[in-house]
Amino acid sequence: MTIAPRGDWKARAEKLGFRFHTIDGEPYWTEDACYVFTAAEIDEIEAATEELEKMCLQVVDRLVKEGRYDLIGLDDTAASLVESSWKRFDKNLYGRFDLVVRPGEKPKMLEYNADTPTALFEASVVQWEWLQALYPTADQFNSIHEKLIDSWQNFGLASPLVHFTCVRDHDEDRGTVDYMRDTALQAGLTPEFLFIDEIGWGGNGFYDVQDRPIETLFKLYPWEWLMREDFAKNIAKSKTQIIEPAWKMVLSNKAMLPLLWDMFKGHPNLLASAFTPEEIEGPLVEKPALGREGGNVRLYERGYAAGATAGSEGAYAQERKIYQAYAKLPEFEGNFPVVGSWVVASNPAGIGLREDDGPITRNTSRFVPHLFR
Amino acid sequence: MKRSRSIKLVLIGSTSLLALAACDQSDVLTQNDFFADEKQCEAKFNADACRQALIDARQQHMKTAPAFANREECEAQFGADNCMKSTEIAVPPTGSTATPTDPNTTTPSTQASAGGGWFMPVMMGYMMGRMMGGGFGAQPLYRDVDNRAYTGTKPIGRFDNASMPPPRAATSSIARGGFGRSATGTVSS
Repeated sequence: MTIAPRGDWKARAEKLGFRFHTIDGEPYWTEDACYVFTAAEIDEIEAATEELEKMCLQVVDRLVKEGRYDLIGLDDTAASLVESSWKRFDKNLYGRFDLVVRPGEKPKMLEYNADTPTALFEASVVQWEWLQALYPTADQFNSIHEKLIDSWQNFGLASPLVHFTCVRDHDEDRGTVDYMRDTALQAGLTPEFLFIDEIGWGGNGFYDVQDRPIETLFKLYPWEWLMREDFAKNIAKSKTQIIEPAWKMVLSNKAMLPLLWDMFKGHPNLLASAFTPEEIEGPLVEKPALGREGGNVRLYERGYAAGATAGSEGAYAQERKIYQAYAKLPEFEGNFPVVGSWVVASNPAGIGLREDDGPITRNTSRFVPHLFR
Repeated sequence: MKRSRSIKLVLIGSTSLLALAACDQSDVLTQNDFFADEKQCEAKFNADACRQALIDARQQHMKTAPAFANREECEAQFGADNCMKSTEIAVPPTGSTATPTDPNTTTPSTQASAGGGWFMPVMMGYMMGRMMGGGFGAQPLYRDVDNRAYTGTKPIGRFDNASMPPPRAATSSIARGGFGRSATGTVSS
């Protein structure tokens, strides 16, 4: 790691007049700053991501072997789906690790967005086009687009017809799904869209709005929501291949963080994690096991006994909590970046940075491009 | 080199309008590619262009719409209530799938209605773009029961089922709405 100049530092680029095309027309894109890494730092992040993915898959394997779905809080229906999808080796498409990367230190995993990660289009396309336009001779850790297309081709699907679904009235989700459809189309598949509430059940399988069987379904919709809805019990009876697969339910739940620590205690890319705060020494963070977008996170900067020093609002106050050692985000001119490290088909594919003006990353975080030389 | 060598987008992006020239069945048309009326058109183009485009498209429609000798055949392809009778046209449109009447024969086709009218699908919208022969113009659009889009008798792709659900061809016994009720919060993480 370099010491001076600092490993990743924010460079002020010229303010640009042109807008990048974004599906929702609402770019939270910044055009006047970027992060600069060294090649060595990028290699470190890539290697860490590969390790983390391997470790996470081992957590799933062990949990399924031991049948300990109770540790994640999955009921019998969900447990059964996890078990059969893992034993079938159902393929996964993508996921995003959130990492703390402090100059001079090993990248540390904050959490894994394994089921419905977003900010995909920004990481894959928008920051790439930014690089081409402004710094064509520089490099960027981002081959997400190509890897997505390759992965679709290697999925081994029985039929080229793939359905894509998300909720209504959500431009960002729709934009992500449309981008996924684009990559599927370029892979030679036939992508069709339908809203989540349009999915039909015909007694023996799921059907689309034209009453065609849904053989493969990409959903930008959380598994834990599907599982508490009326059609949940039908999933096991259907032959629909769902992406992301059911076994991802284990990893999209933060309750897997204590399990990961338990299995790989002391690993340099992991933060200590437990189900009770007493097991963690020093500053720690309390998070809901199924929270989203930094909701209901509480920070105990002086340790648990000293009380919470900061917190965020959210709808998850009643959810079960897990505890994690606090890793302070690096600060650059009042901004605190988190590195979103993408895996496509379980391989590191690129990173996208989001920064906030406080230490807890939320939905209001800005996406900031990066480059390295 | 750790970045993608190149990035191409075929479905999303402002070039989708011009991609309509392809005959690939997997091309999906979204509501950005066609206009149901002038108001929708004006979101993208200016008012004069939109007005002219509608006029052009209607004229093309009367000349090149797929034509059928009877309503049943038309509706079988384009769906219930989506066909109109063109009694004011004496000569069948060039897109006709039936034998054109020959003024030198004694009787027209026995399947044609008494008034010499033909059945054609209603124009459900129009699109603007580069024309095959060059230049920029407008074409009428039709939609069949499989949600395929046509200009004239030529299929050009499929409509996006979300923005343009196809006409229902048959009644179905499929239950819907069993997913989606949790969607009060946000999905992204």
